Amino acid sequence: MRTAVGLGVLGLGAVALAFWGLMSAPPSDAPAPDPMAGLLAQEAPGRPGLAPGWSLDLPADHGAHPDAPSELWHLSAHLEGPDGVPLGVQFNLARLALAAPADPGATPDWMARDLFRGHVILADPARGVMAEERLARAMAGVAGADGDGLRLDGWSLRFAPEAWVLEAGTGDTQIALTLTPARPALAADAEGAPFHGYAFTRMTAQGHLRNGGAELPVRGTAWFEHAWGALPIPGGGAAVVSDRLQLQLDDGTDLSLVRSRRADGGGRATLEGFAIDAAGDVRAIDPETAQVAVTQHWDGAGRRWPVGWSVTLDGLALEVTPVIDAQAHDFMAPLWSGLVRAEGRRDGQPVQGHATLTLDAEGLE
Amino acid sequence: MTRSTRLMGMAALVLAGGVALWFLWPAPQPPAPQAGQNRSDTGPVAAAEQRPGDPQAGRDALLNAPYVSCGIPREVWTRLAPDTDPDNLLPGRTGRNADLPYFLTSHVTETGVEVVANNCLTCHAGHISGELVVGLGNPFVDFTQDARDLVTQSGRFVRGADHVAAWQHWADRIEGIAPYIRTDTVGMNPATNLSWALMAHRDPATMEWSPDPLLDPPPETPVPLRTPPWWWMGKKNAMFYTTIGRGDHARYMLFASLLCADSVEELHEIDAYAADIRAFLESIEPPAFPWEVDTALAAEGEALFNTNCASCHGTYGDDPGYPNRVIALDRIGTDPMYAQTMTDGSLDRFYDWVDRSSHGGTVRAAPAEGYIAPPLDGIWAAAPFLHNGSVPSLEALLNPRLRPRYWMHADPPDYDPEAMGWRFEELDAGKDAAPDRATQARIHDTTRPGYANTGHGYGEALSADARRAILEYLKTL
Ligand code: HEC
Ligand code: HEC
Repeated sequence: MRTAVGLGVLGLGAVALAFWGLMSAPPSDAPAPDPMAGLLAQEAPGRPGLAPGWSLDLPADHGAHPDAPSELWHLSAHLEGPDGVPLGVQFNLARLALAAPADPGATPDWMARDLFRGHVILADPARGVMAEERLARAMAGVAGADGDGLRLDGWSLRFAPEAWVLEAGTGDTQIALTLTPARPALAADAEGAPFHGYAFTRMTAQGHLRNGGAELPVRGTAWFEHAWGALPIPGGGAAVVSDRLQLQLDDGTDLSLVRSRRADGGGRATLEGFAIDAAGDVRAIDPETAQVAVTQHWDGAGRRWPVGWSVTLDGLALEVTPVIDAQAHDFMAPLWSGLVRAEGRRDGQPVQGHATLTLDAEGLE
Repeated sequence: MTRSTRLMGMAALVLAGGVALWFLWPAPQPPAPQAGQNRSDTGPVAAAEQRPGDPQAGRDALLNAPYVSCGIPREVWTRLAPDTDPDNLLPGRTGRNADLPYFLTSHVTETGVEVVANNCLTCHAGHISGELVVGLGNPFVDFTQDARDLVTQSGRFVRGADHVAAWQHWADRIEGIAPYIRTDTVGMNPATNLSWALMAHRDPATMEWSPDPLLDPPPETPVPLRTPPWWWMGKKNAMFYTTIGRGDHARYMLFASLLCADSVEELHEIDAYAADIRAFLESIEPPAFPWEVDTALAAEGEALFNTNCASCHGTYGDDPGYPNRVIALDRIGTDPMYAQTMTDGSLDRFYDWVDRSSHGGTVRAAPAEGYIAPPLDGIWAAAPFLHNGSVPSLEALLNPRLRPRYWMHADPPDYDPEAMGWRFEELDAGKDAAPDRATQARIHDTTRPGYANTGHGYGEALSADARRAILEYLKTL
């Protein structure tokens, strides 16, 4: 019996939405029609989309899902050096289908069937912000994703059974991390949602940051997400854009918030997301009671970025402020994405933590 | 709860939140009125002449015509809901509508963007005993979420200048009405408030949309209403529970197009086929009770009905008749809020708007301070009962001792042919005690304003056997 009638069907589910906000992709030079967007707007040829009745199967689901027209992986780590100085690390990889997959067993050809786009961001208050974006077509040894790992040139994330290993960097700054899940995967398996995915919202992370000759031990927590299907792609003049906060508090809470706003500045921003408490209980954010107020802007890279948030929900009140103001990145779809700190109270008790805040450039003054 | 059922639950928060959206048929009426013109007396409702129409053409228009001409780009709809449940496909839908779910209609805008919009069937169709029934008031329509969430959820997938502009046209209107169309219980319909909100944003003379309201908007909380079935219209001389809809019914109901019709020309284009739609609505036959009926008992019931009920609800069978009577509030004793707010002067500015519109003079908003005693054709399917849906079954309607104070429909919905209504669970406490917002939205709490389940005690004095016989008879209508 169908009780859901009407555009409510548009609801993607709080969890699926959580995955939004990660994917940076196509060039966004508005007003000219965006060729990438046009490409993505159509069904990718030979990509049937999602089969119903999916359930999470790891490690196989770590790899690419060629039936899906778009896919993304994202790792954010909130780390600390021995001196207690915070360090933010992000590794992002997106796959965009351009053509039907090659027939299995066919002679390799040079046709680009999938495009990979990725970035690495290191936010280090001592050394500054380092970021790099790369593009490659799928090719063995160059760019690809399977159950063993992700690769884009020299960047890789390997899903070894005992611990995952991230190796990435830019210039002469390199990060090496081993990562182990501290919580089971959370599957976004809502029937009817336009994409599937899963998240490890809390992993323990430790490793080294190498900078020239110096080597700095780092440790902390990380958050990994992977989604595939028909993903909303930031950039390129979408009518609604979203900002995303992925927050890990010291009391064991993980919080995912998506704040969406009309790119034309009209209407009212809306909130979606979920929280996982220390016991592992997952709850959707109640948009009635959750509130985000912008408390701080940073003027740079030609825009006024809402980099400071005050977040209130269910007994939790947090001030979120940037660890470094200048974390805007001039990628194909420009964004501000970086390390922020959170401080506040839960039911009167002090809490704190770190988060990754990602802001879409569209719709900002 | 396992992790994955939790997640499903979270998704369901939104997915099941089938907010339907928009707009509607309003209630308006003629101009600058002396109070008398905007009110009707209780008692019999006089017939008004209606424009003739072709029911066949009307069904086609209802199912396929773009009387709601703004929506979300179809491409976005397809992306979000790639597969249409075959149970939601309706025969008789043509062209671009053929493979859309029954509650959406496609339209190609002047700039060439194909959009899909919620049509009348969003509120006026539903599944019962395995059938999709056009004209059934949707008992589970869900307006408990903020419609603005749909704006952002759909907008994330919209790109390209023309598509964005088409989406904005729709999004602006939804944002304009969203504050006034949120109900606190699933199944309750905000259509009346929705139409007031639209009028508040439009110039009646030009139909031009104003981002800021031009009239004081209606109260934010809609009065709870259940959606009546359409097949009563063939007998009713005025539309709506308070008989506010007087004059040309076709025009009145098609004010629906107010959501998007930004010009008088567009309104008139729609009006050209409105009479056909009205003719179709009046031709709808109620669905037959699909379970067995004890005909001997029903015959006993008929006699009892004719003595106790027919003076208000009419007679059926070989010698049909229907008196079209409005019963005053103090006499019927059901929840007074709806009829009171319609007649206390607090909405007169909208009745005046109707009169100043280009339909003014041919339609008139004139509510009575009471409720129409409706025809009871196909009443078995029209649960929950009374104008505010406060009584879940006919058994409880006839025996007030059985009316639950706090109750909730079974999930998934399941029709109970004995009690004659959707199965429900009686609860010990109301909305305040609900563990979460989703449950709260499912609870009918008859202690809340507008939700009272009082009045209409006409079965109370009857014996249990007499009530049983009348129930059996109602199955045959
Ligand atoms: C948002 C939900 C909604 C939509 C959409 C909607 N209606 Fe209704 N309709 C209602 C409700 C609720 C009532 C009862 C209001 C009342 O009687 O006061 C109603 C009543 C009616 C009635 C009067 C029934 C009676 O017995 O008095 C007619 C006729 C009608 N609608 C036709 C239409 C048509 C035609 C459309 C599309 C152009 C439409 N409606 C769209 C909710 C809706
Ligand atoms: C004095 C007039 C009157 C009498 C007598 C009367 N009713 Fe009603 N009935 C009404 C009115 C008025 C309503 C609408 C009340 C409302 O919606 O708040 C109504 C509503 C109903 C409804 C629900 C309709 C709906 O929209 O859900 C049913 C069923 C019904 N009556 C059956 C009966 C039966 C059976 C009897 C005889 C035992 C009876 N009525 C006697 C006036 C009457």
